[in-house]
Amino acid sequence: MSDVLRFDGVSVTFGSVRAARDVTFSLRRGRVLALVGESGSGKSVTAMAALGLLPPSATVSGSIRLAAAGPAASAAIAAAAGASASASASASASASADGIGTARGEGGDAAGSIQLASAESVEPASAGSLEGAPAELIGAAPPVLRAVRGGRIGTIFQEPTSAWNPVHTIGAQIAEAITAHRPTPRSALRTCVLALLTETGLDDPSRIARSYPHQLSGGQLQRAMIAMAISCEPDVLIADEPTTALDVTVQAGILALLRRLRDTHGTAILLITHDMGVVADLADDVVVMRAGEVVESAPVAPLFAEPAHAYTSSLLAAVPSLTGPVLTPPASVKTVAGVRDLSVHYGRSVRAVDGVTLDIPAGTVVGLVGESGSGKSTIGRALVGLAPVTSGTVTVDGTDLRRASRRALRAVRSRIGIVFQDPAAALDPRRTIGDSIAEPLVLHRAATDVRGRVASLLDSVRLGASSAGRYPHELSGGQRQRVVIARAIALNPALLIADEPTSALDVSIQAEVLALLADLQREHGFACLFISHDLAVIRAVAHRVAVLHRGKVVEEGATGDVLSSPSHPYTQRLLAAAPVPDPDLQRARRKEAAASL
Amino acid sequence: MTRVSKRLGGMILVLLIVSFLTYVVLIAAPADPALMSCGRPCTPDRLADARAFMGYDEPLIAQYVSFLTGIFTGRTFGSTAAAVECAAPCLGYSFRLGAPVTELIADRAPVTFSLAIGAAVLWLVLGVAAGTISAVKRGTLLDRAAMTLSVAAVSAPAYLVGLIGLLIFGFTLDMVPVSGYVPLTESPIDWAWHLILPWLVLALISAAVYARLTRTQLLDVLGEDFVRTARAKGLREGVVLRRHGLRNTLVPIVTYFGLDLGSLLGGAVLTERVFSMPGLGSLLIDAFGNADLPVIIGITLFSTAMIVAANAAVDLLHGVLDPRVTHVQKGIFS
Repeated sequence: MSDVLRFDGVSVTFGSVRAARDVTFSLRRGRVLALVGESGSGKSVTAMAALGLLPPSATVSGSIRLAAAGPAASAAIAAAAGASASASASASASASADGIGTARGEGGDAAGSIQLASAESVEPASAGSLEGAPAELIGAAPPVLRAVRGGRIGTIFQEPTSAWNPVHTIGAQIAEAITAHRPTPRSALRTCVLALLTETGLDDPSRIARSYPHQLSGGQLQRAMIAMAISCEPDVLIADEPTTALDVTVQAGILALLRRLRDTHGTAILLITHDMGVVADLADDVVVMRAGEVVESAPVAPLFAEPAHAYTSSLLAAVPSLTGPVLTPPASVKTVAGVRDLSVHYGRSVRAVDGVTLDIPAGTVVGLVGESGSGKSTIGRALVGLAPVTSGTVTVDGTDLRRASRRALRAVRSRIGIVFQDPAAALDPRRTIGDSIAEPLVLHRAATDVRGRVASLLDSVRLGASSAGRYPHELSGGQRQRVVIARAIALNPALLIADEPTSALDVSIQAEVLALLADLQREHGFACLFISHDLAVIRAVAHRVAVLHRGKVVEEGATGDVLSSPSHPYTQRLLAAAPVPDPDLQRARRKEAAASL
Repeated sequence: MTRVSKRLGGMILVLLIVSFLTYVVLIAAPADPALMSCGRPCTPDRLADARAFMGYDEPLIAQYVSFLTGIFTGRTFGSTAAAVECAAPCLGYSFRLGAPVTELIADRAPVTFSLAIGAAVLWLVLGVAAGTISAVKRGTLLDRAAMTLSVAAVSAPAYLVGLIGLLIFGFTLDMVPVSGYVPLTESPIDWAWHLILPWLVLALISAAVYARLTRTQLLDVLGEDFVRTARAKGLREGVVLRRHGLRNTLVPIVTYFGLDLGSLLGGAVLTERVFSMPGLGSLLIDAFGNADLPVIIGITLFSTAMIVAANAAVDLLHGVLDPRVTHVQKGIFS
């Protein structure tokens, strides 16, 4: 096996902040290396250093070497590097007349120009298993880096909706990626773009090519992004959280596609992720990073079976699991809140919620699970009277929200606490967290000793009364979410609505916040609607679960029943698509899924 | 189609409201145009005659209606041998200047248009170029110098810049003419030569605004994910800047540009005054000075029409520049 891209003692600093320190690992042909870590661990920064795409304030040291390309690819780079180095218009013009197979016979020149460019920064290559003369990427000249970006290293980013330029078509943006490296006549370009889109499993590629980004779904955009990333047949693919923004069923498809590229093209893939399930599903080797340093690197099987480092163990332990004991619903008959035949339609054609009936019994956590666009957040909003309800009834604490007067509505709202997904956006940055927590108390004149109440709330979310004077930016994401929770329970709500409360948090923080929510629920006994896309998270906190699909509840029942023996095909699909953090089990599940097709 | 008709309906409504308000406010004002042309000595009889001749003896609403119908059918003032014809589109008749308002505007508009369009092109080019350089070189001395200069330019009053320009380039250096206007059709070179200084004065101030706007917008866009994508595919920095950076700043720039140009087409009062150019702005100022109500009403309506038209043009351009605009209109929510 040969190293394609080798990171050797790579350190990245921003001013005095060290984002990555002495990171060493190498990518091999036909293997997926997962770079795992929580936010701020330096995994993305390390990867971007290979492309020279860090902000100017970053200082990079160490060595990142890219093995010399095979004959075809090196010719393409040579053309690109040569043309840009000499900045001669005629060179690129003649090249474009030549078509795709540009630099036949210019191979020698090509190697020469890369050597020239890299000679300044690197001593002649003596690196062990790197083939030929590797190119040093740190401090490489701009033309060399440009030839590498997209040409030898393709990149896929996390958020497919913002990674595309909204004003150009998908086809134009992919074509641009090709012509940046291989001058290609228009007709060939079109064929090439369509072939790439077909290869990534997109139906109707010509429609996709004509579309603007806003007309496609996240999954389609991410497939097209992969098509663009492999357009110049790169040796390395950097996938930075490629499925984090996607639904699980869509994620499964993208992971399968990446696996296929690895197997058929022998692409070396650098997979950056925080999701241990994704790692177990796709990775061959794993590098675990924490606070900018590599704490462990090992092949995937031994890493999961017997992690050598305590941090790896804790990371694995924090992942919510789809096995193990579940909560049993309390024997309760009284319903605190609920919706009956609820429909929320936008215009004539969009049925966000379509005839949903759901009860939230006292003292019970009801998990509402569904993919994006399934209507789960709309139901949450309807329960606070913030959704334009088309028909049906919404009842909270005995009050029909649609018939209630303003005054009654206000009173009911004081009985509802809400926790949103992004704690950074849910807190006023100019208020101390004490003031934020005190706001509902003051608004509803609910406490005589506001200070004392805020202090005891901060205590109950384990932040300490002394932190009342701090501002949100002084806190971590997990701490901010604790503040939001404290504010939500300030008025002793009858109902707590938690809308994806841990999706923006790291897995270890998520575990703490979930435990906190469960404790508070037991202590105060409020009913809770817990909205999430993550079945494992739902499993960890919910007594009952309702599965939502396209605005309809397809299955509802006790968590144990629904998740261990799902009766609806959609629930089954959802469960099958969520990767489990166990490489062997995951492989077996994949085989099973393939067999069932 | 419904979108276009809605848009047109809105435009007409705005024009109606503005015309009505101007009409009511100005006619109800203490200045009486009839008094100006009733001759001396102005006996009550003569004044009443003058009123009836000009149409001011009718009730306010009736006057407004005849004003509106006049736009489409033309009007005749008086019925005797001294009757005055005002052909459609009639925006009123200036008894002081002895000419229909439409004719006055048509006479003066080329001056204002030459001034406005030339200056607009100049400031757009200057402003966007300066803003782009500032954004690309952000934090450098060049950036800071350009931004400091733009604050100075923004805060400088047009008449002051104009007068200083006149003093230096017109009188002291004697490089350009100090006043007047030569029609384009007469001599394109003299036309440009007379306009160059006013263009520069107008452009300098607005270019500063556009430089700041471009800089902020471009910096925002350059921080977007898709710019990182563009770089990650190996595009040259110039291409990244043009196709992915500047292309996405066009919508806000076009919005500002349309409105600025639209309001300038109704008359650049200060600049026309400083350079003694016979444009709409000068005409309006004279009209105010002489309580020439029909002219004031006519020009106000004309300026409003220009702004409304510019607005509509901007809206149409949005659809072209940002595919999301047109698709949302046609999409599931309509």
